[in-house]
Order: sequence, then C-alpha cells, then structure tokens
Amino acid sequence: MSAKGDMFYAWTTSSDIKGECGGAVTSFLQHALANKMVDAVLAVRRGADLYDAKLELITDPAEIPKAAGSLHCGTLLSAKMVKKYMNGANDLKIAVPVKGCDAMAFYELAKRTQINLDNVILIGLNCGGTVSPITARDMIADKYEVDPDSVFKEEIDKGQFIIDYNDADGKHQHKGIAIDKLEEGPEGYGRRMNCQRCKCKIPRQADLACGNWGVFGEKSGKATFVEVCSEKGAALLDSAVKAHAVEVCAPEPKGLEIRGKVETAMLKLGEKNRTRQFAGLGEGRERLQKMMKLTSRCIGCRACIENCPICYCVECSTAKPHLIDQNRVPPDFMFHLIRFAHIADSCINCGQCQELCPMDIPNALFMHAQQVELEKMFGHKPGYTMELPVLAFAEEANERARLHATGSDMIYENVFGEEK
Amino acid sequence: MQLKYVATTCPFCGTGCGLNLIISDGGVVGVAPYHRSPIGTGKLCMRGLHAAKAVGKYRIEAPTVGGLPTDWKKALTEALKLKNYSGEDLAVYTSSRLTNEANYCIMRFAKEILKAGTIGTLISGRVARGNVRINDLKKADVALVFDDCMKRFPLTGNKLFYMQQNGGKILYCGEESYTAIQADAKCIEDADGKLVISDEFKNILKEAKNPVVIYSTTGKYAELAEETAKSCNAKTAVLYDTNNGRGAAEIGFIPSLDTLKATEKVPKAMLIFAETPMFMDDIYEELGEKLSKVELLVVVASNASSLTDIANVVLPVTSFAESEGSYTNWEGRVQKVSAALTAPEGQKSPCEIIAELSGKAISYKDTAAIFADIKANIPAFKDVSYEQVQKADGAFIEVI
Ligand code: SF4
Ligand code: SF4
Ligand code: SF4
Repeated sequence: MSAKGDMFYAWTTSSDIKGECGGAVTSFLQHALANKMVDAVLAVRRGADLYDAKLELITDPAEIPKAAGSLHCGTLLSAKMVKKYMNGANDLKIAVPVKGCDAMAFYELAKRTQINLDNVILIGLNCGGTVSPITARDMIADKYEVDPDSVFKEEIDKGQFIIDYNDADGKHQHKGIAIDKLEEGPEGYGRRMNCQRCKCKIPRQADLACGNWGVFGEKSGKATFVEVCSEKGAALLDSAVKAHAVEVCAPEPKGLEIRGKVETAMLKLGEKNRTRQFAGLGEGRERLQKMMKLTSRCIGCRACIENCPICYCVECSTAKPHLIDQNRVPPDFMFHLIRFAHIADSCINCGQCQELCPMDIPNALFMHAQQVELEKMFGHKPGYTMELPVLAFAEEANERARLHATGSDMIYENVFGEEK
Repeated sequence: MQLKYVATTCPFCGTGCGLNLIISDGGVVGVAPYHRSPIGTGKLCMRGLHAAKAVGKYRIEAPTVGGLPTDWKKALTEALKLKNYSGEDLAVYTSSRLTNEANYCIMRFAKEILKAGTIGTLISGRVARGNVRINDLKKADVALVFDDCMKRFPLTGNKLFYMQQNGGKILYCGEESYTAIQADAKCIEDADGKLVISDEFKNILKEAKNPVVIYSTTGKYAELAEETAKSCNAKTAVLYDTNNGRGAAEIGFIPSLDTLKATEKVPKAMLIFAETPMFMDDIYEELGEKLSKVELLVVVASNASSLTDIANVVLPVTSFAESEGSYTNWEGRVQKVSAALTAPEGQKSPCEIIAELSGKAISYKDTAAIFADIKANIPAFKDVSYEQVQKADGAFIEVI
C-alpha cells in the first residue's frame, strides 16, 4: 500500500500505450476510467497538427491512448472549462492531467466553491513551461531555420527546446537550442512570459505528480517518476498496480537526487526571471504610468475576466455602469484597478489574461507583480492549499481604520516600493 | 456528457480569427481559444468570444409562403416564380457572410439560370484589394490608419502594437477615436467633418522603407486612403467588415446596398440570402419600406428578422455553425469553416437550396467538388489548393 509522500518509478503494462517515458500517466487515466473511479477523463488531444492542443472529454477507455501525454504548445487552462461547461464537476467524476497552473487553478476555483474537488482526480505533470503555438512556429523557422511543418516531435529537456524533423532529403534530424538563449532575444521567443516566472514545476497539489525528471539507470526513458501526493492518489496508484495496469519499483537514489536538482534549478531560473521581468516594469510612479499607458490599449472585451480562474462573480464590478462607463473605449483605468483590487491576492500566474488579451496588454505580468508583493505582506500563497484568500479575512471597519492611521490613501502598504 | 472542440473561423469581421466552438451534447455551448490560428493566436475580440451566440434565438423552423408555414415542395415552387422575371426586374443579393462555396453556387444560379440584372451583396463600400499580409504589418515601419480600424478590427489592429514595439510608428487620420489614442501622431477631422492629411504625414510615408496604409472598404475615407497610398508608394491593407466580404467580391458580387438605398426603381422580384449574426445591425430594417414594394420577395435565412416578416417566400437555411466550407479574409487567406453541428430537421444548406431551385443543374457531391469548380472558374482561386485550405494556416488566393 502506498501513502502520501511515496515515490516510485512506474510504467505501463499495455502494449497499446506508447508513452515516451513509461506511459504511466496514460495508464492511470485509462485505469481510473475503465474501473469507474471516474465517469470521464478531460484530456488534451492533438488538433490540427503538432502545435495544436485541444480539450476533449473522453468516456471510452480505449480512446485514452490517443490523447497526447504532453504538448508543449498546449497553453490552455482546463480548470475554468470545468467550471464553465461541466458544472464544476458537481455531478460528474473526472480525471484530469494538469500542469502546475491548471492544478493551482483547480484549487482557487474549488475554494470559491466553483469546482467540487471531491469529484476530481488530478494527475499532475511536471512542467518546464509551454510555448505558444505561433511563437513556436515562428521561432523554429527563424532560429532553427527549419520548416515548422516538417517537425514531428518537440520536447523541453536539459534546458533546451528540442525539435525532431525531417530535412529536405527526408532524413531525420534533431536540433536543440538553450531556452535562455531563445528567451533573452527581443523577439519574445521561448516559453510564455508567465511560464518563465513560474515556480510550480512539480504540481504536488495534484493527487499524483508525474514526470520524467529523476528517472535514472536502467529505467531511464522507460518509466515515469511518480510522487504520491494524496490519499486519492495513493488509492489510484494501488488500484492500478493491483490490476497490473502499471508496474512500479523504487526509484534510484541517484534519480531522487537528480530530480531534486532539476527542480531547484528550475525554481532558481523562475526567480531570476521574476526579478528581470518585474524590474522591467520599473518601480513606483514609473510602474503605475507604464501600466496606465499599456492598459489604454484595452477594448473592454472581457477576455481577461472570462478566462481568469479567479474571476467567477456573476455580477462583475467592471460591468457596473456606475463604476465603469460601459460605452467608453478604452475603458477608464478603474476597470483594471477593480481587477487588481479584487483578484491580485489570488493570481496564480496562469498567464491566460495576457495570452488571450486581443490588445496584447501584459495583464498577467501586472497582476503577478502585485501578487508577489501581497504574498510578502500577508503570507498568502494562492494555488497550493484550500486556505481562503486575503480579502476573505479583511474586516472593512478595521481596514478603514488602519488605512486612516497610515495617513496615505494606499489600501496596502506602498506596493510600488516608492520612497515616501 | 460530451465535450469537444471544433476549430472554425470567426463569423464576424474580415480579420478571420480562428476559434474553437465548444460542443456539448449536440449544442454549441461556448467558445475556446484556438491558439493555432495564424491570425489571432487564440485571442478574440468581444464578437469572436461570443460566436456561440451568433445564431440567434429565432430560428426559422419551416418554409413559409405568404407568412404561413408550408412544406419545402410548395415553397420551392413558389420561389421559382422568380423565373417569371428577368433583367433589371430581377435582383439577387447574397450575404458576404456566407461561405465561398455557398456564394459560388448562388452566383451560378443568379447568372446561369435566373439571368438576373443585378447580382450583389447588401453591404456598402467598395471592392478593393490590399497587397500586404496581416503578420507583415508587424514589420512595417510606418502605418497610416484611417477610420478607427484598430478598434473595428481588433486582431488586425493589435499587429500594430508589435510594429510599435519594433520601433514603427502609427499615424492616424479620422475622427477622435480609439485608434487616435494609440497613434504616435494624428490628423483629426475638423468640426465640419473635413480631413486634410498633413504634408508631414505624406513625407513620412514617402521616406519610409516599408510604409503601409490601412483602411476599410466601408470607411468614410476609403478613397482618400487609396489615393494617399498610391501617391506615397505605400502598401495597403484593405479591411472588410464581414467575414467573407473579400471572398464574395472575388466571386463577383458587387456591394449594392448604397445603390439600392438610392434608387427609385426597385427591382420587381428579389432573391435575398440573409445572414445577420447576433450583435450585428439589422441592415434590412431601413430597407423595409423599399422592399415591401417588391412583387416577389424570396428570402433565404436562418433567423427571423424584419426582412423575413415582409417576404413572400421564406426558405430556412443552415446557420454558420452548421455549414462547412471556407471564408476568405481581408488578406486573401482562405480558411476552413467547420460544421460543428448537424442542421435541425427541415433546414437545408445554401448549396442544397440552390440545387433544388436549379432542378439539380447546379449540384455538387460535396464541398471539395464545389471548391474544385471555384478553382477552375474564379481566377483569384486558381492556385489555391483545397488540401491547404483544410490546414491550420489556410491558403492564399493570388501570391502577392
Ligand atoms: S489574473 Fe491573469 S495570470 Fe492571474 S490568475 Fe487570473 S488569468 Fe491567471
Ligand atoms: S482582455 Fe485585454 S482588451 Fe480585453 S478587457 Fe481584458 S485587458 Fe481589455
Ligand atoms: S477581430 Fe474580427 S475575426 Fe477576430 S474575433 Fe474579432 S470579429 Fe472575429
């Protein structure tokens, strides 16, 4: 019997599953579905081509092997879809493979009673970051000098973005470029900006956290590293082992060490990128002015709100005519201030509000920069536990008194760090 | 429960963003980003975001004659009385929102069988073709924009932010507007609505290495924009308000709304293919009085409107989410439209309606067959491959 905290190498026993590194994730999903632990699996499937990832609800276990294990161009966020289109999994049991941001989004929606986590099994996937499809194609054409349509495999490994493709003579080629090289240029290549800042690399909020980091020795390339993160995860693993859907063995000590090193290196890089990107915003007044200038591109389409896993209010304040003139384009800066005030404490840096903003406003950068400051002040870390957000605890009378006592009109301390 | 994505093209403006319709248990329940779209990269404006609601609530369920529901046979017989008219007495108007395939069938019917005197679309504006691709706008060094195009065509407009980031400049001409706010320099029309483009603007354009003029076919300053581009040797991006305005123009439909509004001599018989998605103005409302004088008004529509109210014959047609084919965006990119849903019982696609009306003279076995015919007969489409249109990047008519 396994328990929370246990770690294994696991691999599939099914010949139908062609997982790159053991296929354990696919087996877990298939097993959960075949044994009625869940009614459906919300999987990512390859759409038009290698660069296109789409969600699909799968109810037939035989279909599971066709779903992609991971697509580095899959930048979508599944949690909000579960809330919007699946009634928050209130009347349906599902299993979902999740990246770090997906897992965090599930928690934030769950604590707002928008998703019923009791009905959800989260299979975490280690994530080194994702690349938007069109950025990936442009980058492959420009930096790799390869026709993006000739690529049949992409991966992120050992700090490189690697592609496998067929050259003009039909010969199989392999080419990798260091991610930091790609990301330091002015073109905006490499992973999404929020992925560059991400520090949720092994999603332990999920029930099982799976990946290939730390698979060492004879199992290298043939097994998935699995960390059991909850009782639900332990039950799924045990059941899958008992049914011979997967086989497991203890991880190599050296593998554990390697996994730890990969994670630490990733976290360091994330921190470095935060420092660099936030510094680009400037400080104090300069930061505020930058935000005002860039948000004046807004057309008020509400894509940022629609796609944010924190936003769930039926009556959004930004849609109230007495707060925001609904006919003015661009809307008043208050539109953005309302968003900052309402959700910055809980922003999980999923990047959706930026990636999907038609006017290319770096919304996630703005929001995340504020979340990081609020976390320092209040110690609230969104996306990892079911702890309620800061604002849920604020007592209005006390807050007003505190605000009054500071003699400034800042709700929080001077978030922008400007000299008084 | 079922949930899946079907990738298709936005039914609103001529930018042509790709989007995923979310299908759940037989209905379209929402829109999800289609990151693989070469145009929008998943981003959509308010219209695209709500494309699931493009099909309105007032679906026409059965054909009607004289306002009363009837069967297809009777309705088609009645509609075919159009053949009693010809020449200038007969007009066929299509919608520049329908697919290339539908419009091609309609064009053949109007020309070959009805021999209608007027064949057009009920939109205003002109027919013009730009010579720059949407993503090349990012590489321009100067863009002269007319008519608030950045707001009217958000996912075309956003390319100019990339251009600005690369050091390019946005110049703007027109009324105070959203685009004016984004511009690096602007010429605003005066209180009398007069606009003079400054010599400085012209000089900047002339001296630029890679200048582009951006305007819409229905813009107040379309003509001025065209002249300026020519005199300053700038490339042009000519934007269409409707998702397939460029396609309809290439197939030969002439924007006829202004002519119809102006004329005293309204044709005696008309066949109108109407498609007005939600959130768009009902263009037929102001034509109401004129159209009620028409002796025989046959309307093909998916949704009830002021137009279907006054029609003699109404034929219900599939909506955008139920039709497959292609749209041509403003840059001339032909992109796939997917049938995400099966049509409700009793509804026919525009091509099926044409097949019936033409007594199977204009009838194809599938969309690919219509496309092959378009390719053979419409010069702009001669090098477009159907296979390429099916792919995520689409295919371009005529190489620039
Ligand atoms: S504010 Fe933006 S980055 Fe933060 S959680 Fe919402 S969508 Fe994600
Ligand atoms: S997505 Fe962008 S343009 Fe749309 S409302 Fe949000 S900030 Fe404004
Ligand atoms: S810009 Fe045009 S094509 Fe794109 S989402 Fe908006 S209306 Fe649709």
